Amino acid sequence: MSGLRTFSAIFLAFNLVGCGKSFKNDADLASGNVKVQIIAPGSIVENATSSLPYSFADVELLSIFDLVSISGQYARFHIKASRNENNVIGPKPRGQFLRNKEGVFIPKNFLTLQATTLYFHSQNMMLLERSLKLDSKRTAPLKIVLETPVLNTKQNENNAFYDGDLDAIIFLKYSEGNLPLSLNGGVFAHEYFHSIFERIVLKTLKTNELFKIPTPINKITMTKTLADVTKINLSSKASELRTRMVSGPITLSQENVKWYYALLLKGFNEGLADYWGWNYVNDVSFISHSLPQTRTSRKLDLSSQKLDSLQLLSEAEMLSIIYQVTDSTSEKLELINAFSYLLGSRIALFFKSYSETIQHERSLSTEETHKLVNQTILDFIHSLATTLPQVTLAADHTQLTSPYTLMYQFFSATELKTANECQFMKNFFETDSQKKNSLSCIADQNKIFKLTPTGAQ
Amino acid sequence: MRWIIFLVLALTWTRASLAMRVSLFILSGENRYTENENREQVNQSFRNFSGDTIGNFKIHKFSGALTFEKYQFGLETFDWQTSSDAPLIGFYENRRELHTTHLFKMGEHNEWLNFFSGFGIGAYEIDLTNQFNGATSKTKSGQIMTASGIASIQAIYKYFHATADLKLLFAKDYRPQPVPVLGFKIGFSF
Repeated sequence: MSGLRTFSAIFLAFNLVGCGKSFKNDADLASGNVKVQIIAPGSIVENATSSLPYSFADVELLSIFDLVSISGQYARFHIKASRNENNVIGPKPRGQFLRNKEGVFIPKNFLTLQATTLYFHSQNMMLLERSLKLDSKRTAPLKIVLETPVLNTKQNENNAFYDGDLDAIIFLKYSEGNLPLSLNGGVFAHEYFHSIFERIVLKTLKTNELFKIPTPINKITMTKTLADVTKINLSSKASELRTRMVSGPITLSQENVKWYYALLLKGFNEGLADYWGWNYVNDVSFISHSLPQTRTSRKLDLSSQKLDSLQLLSEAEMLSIIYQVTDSTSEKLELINAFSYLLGSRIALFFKSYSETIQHERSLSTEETHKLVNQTILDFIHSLATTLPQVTLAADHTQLTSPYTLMYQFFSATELKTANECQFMKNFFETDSQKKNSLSCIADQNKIFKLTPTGAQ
Repeated sequence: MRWIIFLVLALTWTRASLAMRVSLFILSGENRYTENENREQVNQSFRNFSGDTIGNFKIHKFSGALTFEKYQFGLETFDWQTSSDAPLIGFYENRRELHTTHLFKMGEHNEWLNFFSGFGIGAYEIDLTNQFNGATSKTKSGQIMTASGIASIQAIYKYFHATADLKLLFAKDYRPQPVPVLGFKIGFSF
């Protein structure tokens, strides 16, 4: 018995001593500002190790509370998550790092790499948002969900989305052999913008009957549907509608008016989010690094979008999308969702071109330009939040609010600094058949230009 | 390889002068119950007799012991690799571990079945190679200390020596803290 007691004493004593501080993990002791290695685009980090769009980079994560779970002031992560009403429930990841001689924490596995990379982008997005004037501030930290199976029989991988109810960005499993979506900084910025749009615009429309069709922000579009819509030729249907519009107003059902506004709202949300993604990583085809099939449809240049000039979708084109014959509501929702990217890409391309125009015309740095246009976008979505709740149920097509109308209302009140800036706007808005050759650029005594209807001055 | 040579030389040299018994373990293995990045319990299984690769572990393990009247000194070396990947990305970890054990005889069931308890001290180092799209990032951990509390049942009969060990292993990047380890060794002694 005495042998057993001695055995127990030595075993217990050693294990108590062993629990001491000397065996604390380096990551356990790290908090505050912590240097980590991530995968990032060369455009947003100073010390990228290669000229490739994405490479290893050492960056500093700010205001980390706990590096093991990679949680801090800017983001927190959940894995194997589930929903409890409007809350995300799920354990935090257990980050595994190796600290090098320079004190940089190197992720030892993919989950840790994803979380550290996303924390960095989240911190950048929040700092950007805080530097701009915005009525509604977001709650911090941002919730991000990883490594979680999503029950969706149609598509449960290769996507990322912002869930407005949970106020969380969710990354699904990635199985294509390219840059994982969770490491794609542009995709993160895109999803982050949805959280701003949700707060500013969608919340004001929650109780509006006209916007009752669920704008499928968190509905995942089937890859096949996205591919199919690129093959649908809208021009014959659109020209048929144009002919009908000339002869008189086209009467619309209440349901089709709702589909129309679902398309319009989702188009603006996706388009402005694409701009936000481009603006962050300065890459016109940032999505294609992860999803190469989107290269032609969402790349922010005219030729990829098969356009001769900057333009939006006309009312006839919008209605031709609504009139695509489908058997079921869910199928129509898929179609509207997929076509919203057609409108969205044109909106994103307009803002990108606007950004390049004012940078050139005002001789601004890239940073100054981005800040200015980002603020313009936030001001624009504030204007959407004011205008859209006032939209009434249209009886015919003449009473619909078009994408052009919403943008013209905003930009016609915007001060433009040079004649070329105003000409840029004039060229764009005159692609609207209702405004063809009807706009003028008028300068006041301070040489501030405004776009006005010809003859209105 | 240099650890094997060191082990053989040390055991051979000390046999005549100090130790009552020298043991070399031909078959050995252990299971470490660790927690991974998803907070799942993972059984890391090491065997030195069923080929080079167990799951995604590639291991080499050698061990031996010097047994005195009331004390046993043991030496174990591990050399193992593990890897994981994701699209465009690979993580490759090489670990070299050296453990010494210091066990004290606590009792015996009969002439050949003994109970030992004690502690272990060792060190390990990690070479981590991360790859992304053709680019490589290499990181070395340097020497990291490890320690363990050990309870061991050992059968020593003529030229045969077998052990069954329970360890609680401490090291700064092991999860949980400590990591429970169940191990066994089978070898010969003289």
